Amino acid sequence: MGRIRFRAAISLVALMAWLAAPPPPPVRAAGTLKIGMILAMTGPGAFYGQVMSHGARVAVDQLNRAGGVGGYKLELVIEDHKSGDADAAVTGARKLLDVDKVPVILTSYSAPTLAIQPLAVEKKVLLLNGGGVGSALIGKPALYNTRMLSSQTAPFIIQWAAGRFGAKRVATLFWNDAAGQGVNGAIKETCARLGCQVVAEEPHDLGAKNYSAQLARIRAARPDALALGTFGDDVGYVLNQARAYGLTVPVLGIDWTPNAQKIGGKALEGYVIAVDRFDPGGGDDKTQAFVEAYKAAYKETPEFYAANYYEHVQFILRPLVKRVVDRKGDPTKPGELLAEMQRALAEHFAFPSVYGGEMQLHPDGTVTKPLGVYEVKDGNLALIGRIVGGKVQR
Amino acid sequence: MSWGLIFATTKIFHFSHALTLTLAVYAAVLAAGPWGIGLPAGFALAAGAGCLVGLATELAVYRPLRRVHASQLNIFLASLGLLIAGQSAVLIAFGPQARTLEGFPMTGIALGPVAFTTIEALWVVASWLLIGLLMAWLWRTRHGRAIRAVASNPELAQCLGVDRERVFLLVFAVGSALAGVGGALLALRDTASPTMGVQPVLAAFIAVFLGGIGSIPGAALGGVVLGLAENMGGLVLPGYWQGVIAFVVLFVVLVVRPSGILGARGR
Repeated sequence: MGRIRFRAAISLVALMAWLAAPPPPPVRAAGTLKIGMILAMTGPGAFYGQVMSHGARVAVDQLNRAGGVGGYKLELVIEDHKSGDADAAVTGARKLLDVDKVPVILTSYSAPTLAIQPLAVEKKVLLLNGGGVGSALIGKPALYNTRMLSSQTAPFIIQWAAGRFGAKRVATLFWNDAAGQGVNGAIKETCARLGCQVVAEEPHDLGAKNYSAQLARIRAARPDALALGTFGDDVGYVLNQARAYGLTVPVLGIDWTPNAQKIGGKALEGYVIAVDRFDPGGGDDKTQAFVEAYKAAYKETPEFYAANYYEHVQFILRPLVKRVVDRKGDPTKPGELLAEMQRALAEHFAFPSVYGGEMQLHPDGTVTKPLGVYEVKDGNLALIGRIVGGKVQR
Repeated sequence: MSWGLIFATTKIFHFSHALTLTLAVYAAVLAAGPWGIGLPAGFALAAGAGCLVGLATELAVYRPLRRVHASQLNIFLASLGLLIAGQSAVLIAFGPQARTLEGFPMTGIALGPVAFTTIEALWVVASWLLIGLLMAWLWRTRHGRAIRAVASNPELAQCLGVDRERVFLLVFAVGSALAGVGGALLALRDTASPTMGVQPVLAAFIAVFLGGIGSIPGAALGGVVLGLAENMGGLVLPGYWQGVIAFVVLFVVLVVRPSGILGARGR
């Protein structure tokens, strides 16, 4: 009995001591910087979401293995815009901004990016786009594009066609969204300047598989070149059907992917594009370090979509976070990374690029990367012209 | 026709028919690609895989739901859920990249101002052949008559000794096999992707309502009317209006003739 009383007394004293003790200091949140992504994870563009997220993940894994950035571990939080659905993008952005409290969002596609940009401004969050190419993406506060936009690349395909074979009648076939309309607008503007005429303008739905109606009208307009404002796999379907329906004129564009090549096959031979091209076999040491890491992680060669989002994390966010930490700031706080980006641009900070050398980010949100004119030969892109000083040089 | 056959007989709004089509096409892609057993075997496998998926859907989802007297809405929601879950599973298993079904050359055929491709010619021939075979089977065989009897009046058919559950299994087997073959034909031009089944099944809904609910020949006629309207409309309106044209035609037909072109009046 005495022993029981003794144990009870000890327990009571321990309980009172525990109650009286000051509460332990709150555990300091681990230094984790969340990076939001709004990508096409489902729907016809799910391929892009997959490779873009893979590109970013390779960079995050590399940096975390090396101890993080400025003491912060990086974490990706991915939301889905269902292949271009602006409403889904806004829902995803609200979750990222209000629940996850991310200070930066990596986005893709023109319409979703434009839809979430006002939210990013309101919450002082940095937006990086490596996929959308619509010219409406220029000059938007908080938004920086690391892919050259349609208004930067599309004029060169018309310039090339006019110079190479004197194109006078151009037909356009383009995505019926901000990106495609942007390409169409840039082509019309360039044509007006160079004295050629746009004889047919045919928009189509994203991910469409049947182009018979559009191609019939284009054939009837008798163009001497067809310019595409179409992206990804759609390029393969368009070329396949255009050639099968007997449209033999040169086809020009601003996008080519290995998967489109697989879909289009021989129909893509001779397809000419003006593009800021990522060459996984070229570049410099950092290009090869990325390509090797990507291949090791995903057993495939990265495309430029993966490269752009790798760059976002490795070559834009890493230096920005370090700069914020170096001046004793907190990069997880909204506004810090955005303000640092603006400071870096004002100081002409040089961001490296896996395209080789450096990329020039401009205050209006555009980027300059090495640009060239390429032609599909034997299933691969071959450089047929360099763009120097705004002119195509063969 | 495949969706129309199932809907006319079972009255199930079988939305996961899109999943059946997708899985069957992936079977054909594997057969003609990595397994290397050729395109004809791929088509046979697509029909077989479609048949199995359709039967599994009926046995594992719809029949248990009917047994607990689930409403049409509940069954439709189950079908929708199955489609979404199935599409995600296909995405995980095969990845998001479009896969080509190889083995049939696509070249152009020009008849004066009309241009079409060898694949489109194959679609026309194969579709009418399958429709003809299905009609002959439905009108000339005992099983076919049983299906038409259940589609027309299930209670009376049961009174005459027709086993409704067996007929349901039969239409799911045949309808799903047809969807597999149709999907493989489609994939010759359009490739295979996890979401590829939705568009053809949506077109099938419209065709069935156009042709007349419950009428199997009506589904074929509805498909022809829909296809002509979309493509002829595409010559005067922008191509991306084809989806709108389909719904405008459906709206007009339902206003003028609510039972559809070949549907029974005054039911």
